[in-house]
Amino acid sequence: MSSDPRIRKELKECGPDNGSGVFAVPVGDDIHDLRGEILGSEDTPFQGGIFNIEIKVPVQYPFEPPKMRFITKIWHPNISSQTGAICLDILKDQWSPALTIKTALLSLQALLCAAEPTDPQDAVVAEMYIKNRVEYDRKAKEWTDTYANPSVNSGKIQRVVEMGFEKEKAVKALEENEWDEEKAVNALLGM
Amino acid sequence: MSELSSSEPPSEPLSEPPSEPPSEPPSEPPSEPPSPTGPFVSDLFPFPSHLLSTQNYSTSTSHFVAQLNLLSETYSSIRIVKGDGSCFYRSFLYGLITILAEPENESERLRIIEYVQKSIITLEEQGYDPLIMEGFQEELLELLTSTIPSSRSGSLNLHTTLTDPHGPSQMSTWYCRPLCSSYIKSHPETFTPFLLSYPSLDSYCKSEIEPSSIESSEISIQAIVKAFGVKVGVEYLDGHDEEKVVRHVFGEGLEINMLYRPGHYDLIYKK
Repeated sequence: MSSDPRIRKELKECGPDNGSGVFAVPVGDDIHDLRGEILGSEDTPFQGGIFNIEIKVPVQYPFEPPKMRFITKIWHPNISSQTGAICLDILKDQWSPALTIKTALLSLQALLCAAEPTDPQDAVVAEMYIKNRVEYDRKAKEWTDTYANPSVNSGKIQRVVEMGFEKEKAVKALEENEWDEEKAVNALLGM
Repeated sequence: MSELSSSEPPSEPLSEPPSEPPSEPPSEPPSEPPSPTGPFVSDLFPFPSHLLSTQNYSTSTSHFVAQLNLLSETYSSIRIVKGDGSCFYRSFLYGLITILAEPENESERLRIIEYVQKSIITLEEQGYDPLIMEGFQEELLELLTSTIPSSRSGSLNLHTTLTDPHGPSQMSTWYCRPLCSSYIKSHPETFTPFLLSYPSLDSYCKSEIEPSSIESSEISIQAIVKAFGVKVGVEYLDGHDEEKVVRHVFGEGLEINMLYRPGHYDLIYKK
């Protein structure tokens, strides 16, 4: 049984601007290789962030769950801060063919609002979440601003460019220095 | 006769919290479940000789052999069903479609077609995405409205279609699960006492009924036979009592019989 008709049907419903705060589109011609996007919810440390998700749809879909991973770095107990691997039951044994790529992305969005630190993917993040919630919120917001917020990043890029550096080099330096403007400028100046 | 040794009245409505599983975990090693990579449903094999020759029943599992011999008074053949968590639903669908293919059951086939046609409305009311569910419903309707008549005319082999991994049976088999959920959610007074630790029937169905890897339970069996209006008889090959095989009968109507070995269902056929 081919999963393609089902995937095509789903893609019609979850393209950009579908109003749900999440969407998914094929990366290229292969409809089994998708890129998803989740907006961080308001009143969370992820507010203002746009999180990119790698979605691999298996041939056995929808009888097997889509494989999802955060491409955008994120500080969250149920998501690996290193690899972006996600710990969420519906992407594993609780997957059902009644669920869709869109509902799975919405579940990820909900996971960002309600972490489950007792069932962590990233033990370091989970420990911080449990022991020092203020520090967790601060770091999660910092990572959101650094890695997931294009407006924050584009502001940094623009300021570095205005100092007289080429845009390409500015972006590279910022990326290499975790979006710390001062360090990036120092690196560009060879200091 | 296994039916005479039944310890439960047939078609008992669900009226009390989950009855104990009909047998405690067997004290003896259960038979090996069929491979999860085998065919959906096997050819017809003689019963019980097929099981006796393929399962390594030793003296330590003698009660299984005694029970098989008791069942052989009633049943003469078996189909082994793939052991992948959907064996009950697969047995149910295969049993249902093959029975409905018999010309004398034409009125039942038409009744069930109508039920399946209307099912999408109920599912939508219960919050399922009709665009997604239609894909599954259409496959089940194809089996009921096109495959069965084609098999009667001889232009199509029913067994081949039902066991084709690329055919309509995979999606139809899974569609039995939301139909089961739908019946449960439509009858909260019957099923709410069975919720276990779940906060709602909805979350119960999402976790315990709809994932393809979750095996059936007595609750899902009760719901599905009522949803379709058919009867399922289950013979429990539990190895507990060499003089008796427990038989549970669920629902009323056209009869599908199954053999339950701990953790697995196969289809069995009367003489």
